[in-house]
Amino acid sequence: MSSLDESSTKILVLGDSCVGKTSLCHCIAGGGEPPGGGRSFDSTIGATVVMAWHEYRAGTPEQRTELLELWDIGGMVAHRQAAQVFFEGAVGAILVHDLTNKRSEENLATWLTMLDGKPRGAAPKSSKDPAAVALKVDIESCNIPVLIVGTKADLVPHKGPVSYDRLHIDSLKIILRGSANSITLSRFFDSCLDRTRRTSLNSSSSSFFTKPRSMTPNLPGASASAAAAAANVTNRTMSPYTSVLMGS
Amino acid sequence: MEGSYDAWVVFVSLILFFIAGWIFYTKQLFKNYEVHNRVVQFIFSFTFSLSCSLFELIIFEIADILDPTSRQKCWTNCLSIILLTLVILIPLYMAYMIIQTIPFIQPKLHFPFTIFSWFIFLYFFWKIGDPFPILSAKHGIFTIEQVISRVGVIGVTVMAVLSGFGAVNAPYSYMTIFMRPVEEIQAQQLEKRLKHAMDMIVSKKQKMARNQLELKRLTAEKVSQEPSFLSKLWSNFSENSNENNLQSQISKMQNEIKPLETLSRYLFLELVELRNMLERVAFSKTFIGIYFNVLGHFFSLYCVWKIFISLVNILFDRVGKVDPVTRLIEVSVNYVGIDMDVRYWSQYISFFLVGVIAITSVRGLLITMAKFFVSISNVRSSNIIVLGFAQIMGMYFVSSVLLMRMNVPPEYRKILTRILGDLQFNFYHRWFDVIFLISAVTSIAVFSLIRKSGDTRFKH
Repeated sequence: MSSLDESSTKILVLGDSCVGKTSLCHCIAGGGEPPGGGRSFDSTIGATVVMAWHEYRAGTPEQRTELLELWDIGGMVAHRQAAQVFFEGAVGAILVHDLTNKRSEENLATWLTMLDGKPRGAAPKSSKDPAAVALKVDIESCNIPVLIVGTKADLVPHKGPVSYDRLHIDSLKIILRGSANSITLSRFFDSCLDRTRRTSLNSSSSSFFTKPRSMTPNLPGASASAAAAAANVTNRTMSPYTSVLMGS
Repeated sequence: MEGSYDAWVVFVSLILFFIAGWIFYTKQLFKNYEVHNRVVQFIFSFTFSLSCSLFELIIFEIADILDPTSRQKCWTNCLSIILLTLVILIPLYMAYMIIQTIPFIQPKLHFPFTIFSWFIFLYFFWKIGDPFPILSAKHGIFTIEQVISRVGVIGVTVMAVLSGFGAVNAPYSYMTIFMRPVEEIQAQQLEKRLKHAMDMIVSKKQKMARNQLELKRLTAEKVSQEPSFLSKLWSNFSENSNENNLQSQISKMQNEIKPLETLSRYLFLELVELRNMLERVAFSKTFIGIYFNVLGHFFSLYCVWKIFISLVNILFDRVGKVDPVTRLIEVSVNYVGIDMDVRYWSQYISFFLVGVIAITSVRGLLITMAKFFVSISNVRSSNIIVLGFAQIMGMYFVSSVLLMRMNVPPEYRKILTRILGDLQFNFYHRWFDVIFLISAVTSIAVFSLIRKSGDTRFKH
């Protein structure tokens, strides 16, 4: 039941330095010790790619095994502008923040702005109200599916229940199948895969949906060639530095 | 009555400086993180407020505010407290935090280890005083002079290194003739190469992932089937080789991926540098950039003059005898012909000069510290780094008080000598010149090396 194509889907993992993106990628890809043994705390320079298998539409007749590329992009401030070279061709993004550090959640708005170029409240006034922070990190307006993950959940055990579209994860433990975290994660990956060309086996229209995470059946994925020809809005991100549209 | 009023004034100013240090800590140093450890914040603000009050007390001395005896008491108190902090409090706490992060020491051994490493620090701190002609033991062991002399040596070294580096770095970054001409097209070419490397990494990792999945499937099949004797024999020859094949392919690909990843990191770092250079070139074309460029020319002249003067000082074994204030007054009286009351004006001008020096050095140090801290720290090491900064800041301010002696007229020099004790001040000025020269020359060598290597890399 493996995928017949040789291509895989690119998903970005973004966030400030030292929030735990690299550990999160290894946790999603299968947990346990990362290859090489032991945990190293070195900051990622540039981007590291971690491959993860995912059961697309598990439990339905259309179930397939798809390969995901998780692009773990280093979050150091000095490298931020140059990191935009990696954004091209991504169909989804995971924004990671540290549950022990509120500023990292506020800085997610900056990363979101880098993704799609829409300016959001640049100077975060330190508001303690989580609803206000959530408003600033306004992921519904982004044109690709975005998931927000809070790491180091084992260090803040007193956090209350999580909203249905966010994750609180302890990256050192594997994600148990059937747990709420794994369901949210697979829903997110499914919505990313829905927007790629390879899942549009039944696609009848090339219309573009702005509610990326709704799980309506027979969601016609926008075929990329039509979208690339048609609109300025594509279902893949474009880096502002290159003028070549790298749709595929 | 007099004494308590003066004590209140100094105390209130201490509180004000403490609050300023606290706010600086939260808003500038820790603007990317949350402050979890309040003790470190307290220590930092405490050191900052004591250092600022040193400057404030000097200004009070010169301007003759407050009662002399209470001033004297304030001085000794302030100096002893800040020296105690620099020698005992900060090293102890820093050793404690470092030992906490070492994984193989058990928690109950933390405290003895801390005390032990503090004694090692004390030993080396004492030994610093030996090779220098500072003081002899006949002045007593635990007096302020002994401690100040050693703190002064370290602080003067830090000051001279920073000044030397700053004197070379400022013209280099402001002036456009040092900027390499880079173009957008180079950045795009570099981006293409980086993308190509990443594509190769991704395709290899895809193959590896599929091979690993296939391998897992084969081993699972093998386990789940009930192998009869014959099929076991058969499997020895065929399936095994299939698995071995996969396994060798996987390890081969892992070996191929590693150098590709190193290449991608290298290309990325070059891209970062190229983008920085592009930004600087773009900035230099704006009005502020042009202004900085012109300023850079003047500043570089000043730095060249300073390097030359320190060279002259060392070669001819001369320490400046006349301070700038008296020289200024001399010049204006003799050459320009302004008739001034020397005593009044010298007090006024030296008060002004000391104030300007104090404010610019405090501001410069804080800005440099904030910039460095934001760039080199991460969540885990931030507390230790900020404690190191607090230590450097304390030593910096104590030794700038030492060196300020040279900038004021003789009657105030006597006051400072009386306060700071009987130290060999000439030695400190000579030492500053030597280290300044070494630091400036080293910075010039390092910058020209970097530039030469950059030129070969970016020559397209």
